[in-house]
Amino acid sequence: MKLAALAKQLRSVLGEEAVLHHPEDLMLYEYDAGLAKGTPELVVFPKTTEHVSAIVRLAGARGVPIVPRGAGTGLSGGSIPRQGGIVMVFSRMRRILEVDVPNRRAVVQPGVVNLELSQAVARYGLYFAPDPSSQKASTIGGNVAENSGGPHTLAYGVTVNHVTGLEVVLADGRAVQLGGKAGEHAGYDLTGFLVGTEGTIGIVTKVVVKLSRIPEQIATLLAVFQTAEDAANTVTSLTAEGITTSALEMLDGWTLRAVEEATHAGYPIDSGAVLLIELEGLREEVEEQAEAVARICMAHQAREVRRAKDERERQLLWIGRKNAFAAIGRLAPSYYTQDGVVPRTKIADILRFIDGVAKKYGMTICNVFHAGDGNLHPAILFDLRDAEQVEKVHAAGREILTRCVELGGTLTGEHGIGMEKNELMPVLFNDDDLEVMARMRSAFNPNELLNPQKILPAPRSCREGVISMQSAAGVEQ
Amino acid sequence: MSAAPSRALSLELAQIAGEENVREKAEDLRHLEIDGVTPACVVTPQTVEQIAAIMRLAFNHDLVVVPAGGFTQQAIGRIPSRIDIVLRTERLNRVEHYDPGDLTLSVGAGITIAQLRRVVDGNRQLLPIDPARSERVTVGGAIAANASGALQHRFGSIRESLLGVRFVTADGRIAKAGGRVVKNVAGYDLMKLMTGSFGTLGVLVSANLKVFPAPHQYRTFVTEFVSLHQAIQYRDRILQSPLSPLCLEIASPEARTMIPDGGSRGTWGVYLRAAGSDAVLARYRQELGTDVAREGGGADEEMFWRTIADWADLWAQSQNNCALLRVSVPSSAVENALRSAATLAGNTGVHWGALGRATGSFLIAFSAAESVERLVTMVNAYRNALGCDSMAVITHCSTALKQHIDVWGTTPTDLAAMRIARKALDRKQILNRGRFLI
Ligand SMILES: Cc1cc2nc3c(=O)[nH]c(=O)nc-3n(C[C@H](O)[C@H](O)[C@H](O)COP(=O)(O)OP(=O)(O)OC[C@H]3O[C@@H](n4cnc5c(N)ncnc54)[C@H](O)[C@@H]3O)c2cc1C
Repeated sequence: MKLAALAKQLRSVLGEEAVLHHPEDLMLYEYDAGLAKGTPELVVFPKTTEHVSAIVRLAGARGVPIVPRGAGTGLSGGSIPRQGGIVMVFSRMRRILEVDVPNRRAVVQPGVVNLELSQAVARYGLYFAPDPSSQKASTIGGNVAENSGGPHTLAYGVTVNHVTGLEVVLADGRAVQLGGKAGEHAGYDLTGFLVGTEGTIGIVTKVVVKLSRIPEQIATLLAVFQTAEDAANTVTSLTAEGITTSALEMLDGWTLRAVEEATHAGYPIDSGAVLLIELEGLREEVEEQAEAVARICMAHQAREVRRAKDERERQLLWIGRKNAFAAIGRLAPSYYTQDGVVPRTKIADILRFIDGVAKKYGMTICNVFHAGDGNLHPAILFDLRDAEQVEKVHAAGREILTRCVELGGTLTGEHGIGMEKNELMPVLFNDDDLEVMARMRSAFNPNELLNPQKILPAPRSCREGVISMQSAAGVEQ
Repeated sequence: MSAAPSRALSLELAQIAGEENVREKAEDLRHLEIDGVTPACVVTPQTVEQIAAIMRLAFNHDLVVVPAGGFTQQAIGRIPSRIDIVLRTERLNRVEHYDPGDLTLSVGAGITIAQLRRVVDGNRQLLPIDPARSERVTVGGAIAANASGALQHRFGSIRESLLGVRFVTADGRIAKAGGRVVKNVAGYDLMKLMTGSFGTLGVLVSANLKVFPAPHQYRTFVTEFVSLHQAIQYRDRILQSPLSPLCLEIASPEARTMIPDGGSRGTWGVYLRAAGSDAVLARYRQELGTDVAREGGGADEEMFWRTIADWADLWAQSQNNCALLRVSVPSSAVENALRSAATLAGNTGVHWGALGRATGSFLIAFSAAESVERLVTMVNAYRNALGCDSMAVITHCSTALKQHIDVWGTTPTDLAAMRIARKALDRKQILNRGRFLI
């Protein structure tokens, strides 16, 4: 074993069972929820901030890279080691350290699972607003590192809008506090900066999150359309007319049929697209908005606008939505989910474009996405065993993302850049933009031992080589 | 203390930005003095490229640059030792892009908040940023100072609506981060880093912002209480109710004397602003019950909120020797924070007033006729009472006071980590040298 001496040191600090090195154990940490792979040399399980500091110092002294890992549900390869080294898993740091009800704050360790936090504070009428579809498994540390969103972040904001403080271990092993419980703090907002840095700036060991109040009334509507175009135009009108939905999701015909077959949630299988619309707030407000939503949907040729009668029906619709990708998974041997964003006035345009791309490459693309914030998730169906299809999937994905950027949008709304899109960054950012980001990374992570080769493209001279390597191995599910 | 105006410098600046846009005469610089330090020159570039060229020049010659928008918040910060160039962004005042259907826009950093408000008003949209002196505050300045106002209660500060930024680095590169769309995790979130950085990490040249649909009608409910404790109890009742007001402000009895709320002397005020249909407003009435003393709407209500935004300035203008502090504490610490102010002010013989978000971010004003010492004692004692995790930054005071007290106070955020960020983006510290807290 290459890192035997380091492993021994780590064992003496963390305990025997907290350091893995057998190949069969390491294999479990080769993946995230994508298909990219990379094998660590050691997997470690810290229990305290002091452990994290010690690991960073010991690994740093030997120049060994560290990749933090939450639940491994990431879709852009963020938690995959590209250069071997250590994967640091937070499954032993999953305590809710404090729930401060009067201030609506919780202080949690990074390994706490998103949904567990909401469940733990539900008895106070509170919850943690960011709700990625992976919330049953994904961790707060992972959410912070990816700045994750979810269906309801349309109204309530993404993770960064719900974090006021952090404890972070820097590349030199020092644990530092950033921000705290107050809404504002003097000095740079390093908390806000750190959220979304995918483990490339520091390792998060504690998070101060905002908790939100469960609303008085929730209405869940399902609007059924003949065509995706009508549904897309409805989204534009809802936004323009000032309807503030708390969630506004779109599922196209392909997705609907897959979802219905898998969950029997009551989605109409013969339609072109549906919008799943949620309204929350004061009873009076919700009722008025529900009427306005129905009116706008009908004006765009909705076939029908249906409202969930009770909590059971509502939950069923959401289970259908949150398991949509699992359902899509039944349609083909593999699928590749993209994560582009366009302005809300361009949704119909991009859907038409995606349709064209599907035809051009002779592939099926399912669309299920956060329409209210223009965040697309086209899922391209293919067969991973067919090298030609793999090539095509890549080309199609790249075409779609490039088009998103041309329409004024971006490369990723919530899944992160990771190692999936770092070589696409030049589509969005020029050399100066990237240089400034690189300065920040090298200032905090001087030897690039914290999650190396993520987010930023390889320096220009090596770029070409990396692209061809990636297309051989980098197809994500 | 002013730097010797260098002829060569102004010539070079004139070559970059045009002679008519560079000033170096004393009478043109007097109003740009900061804490008694007069800049050597002021330049008002027309383009981003000119700003980049100016920064390259400054970087190569180690010149201290003060980026400036409306010059409304330059009182913030430590006393500068030298200012070579004041760089004004006011000409970058265009709306570069506005997609009302997407509720997003891009603007030059030099546009004022009031100008921008007029643009979005025309589309029945709402700019969720309402700082003091909005006629003069520029978007760049508002970002650099993380300015906010009463709308912060619902929408957060400008941090929450900033989707993208473009800025010129200390060494003259033009860089951007973020984008125009409402959801985006591509690359580092330098928007957060720029927000509240007081011009020490780059010269902001444009910003992409979120706007919101404008409500059809507003109502303001004024409530008054003889004791602070009762006011806080009322606040807690609102926070626990299903209501979600746009604004929720608390005002101390002295601050209230500047607000035309028709209130009785000596009482605490809580101002709640709501928006919505008649039915929604009726629900507010029902929930707020008989505590409400007055209710208002229409043009008077607009004016009322403008006065609230500007109250601390009015205070500072009408009292000499005063210090304004921007305070932020957790919600449950507000009562103590205000009570300690009252007690300490009583003990030290200082006149005081406070107004701002009832949930924890507010402005507090102390004035002590001619006595700098008493103000120093007051501010120190007050910061001690708040504890070091709270924010209590002085946003306005005399230069004399700055000689005795640090304007920044304490912060829970690690100073060394802040220095790393500063060094990464401005390693020679030419931007606002000596004025920031690190
Ligand atoms: C079915 C499915 C649905 C999904 N739905 C959504 C969705 O709706 N919205 C959304 O935004 N995402 C979604 N995702 C993506 C993913 O779940 C999120 O990115 C999630 O936040 C990752 O959390 P994790 O704990 O699994 O992190 P991991 O995948 O383990 O890691 C993600 C990144 O975080 C870093 N990291 C982890 N812990 C730390 C730490 N303590 N300090 C520093 N860095 C750390 C890792 O290095 C890596 O870069 C979905 C994924 C799946 C499989």
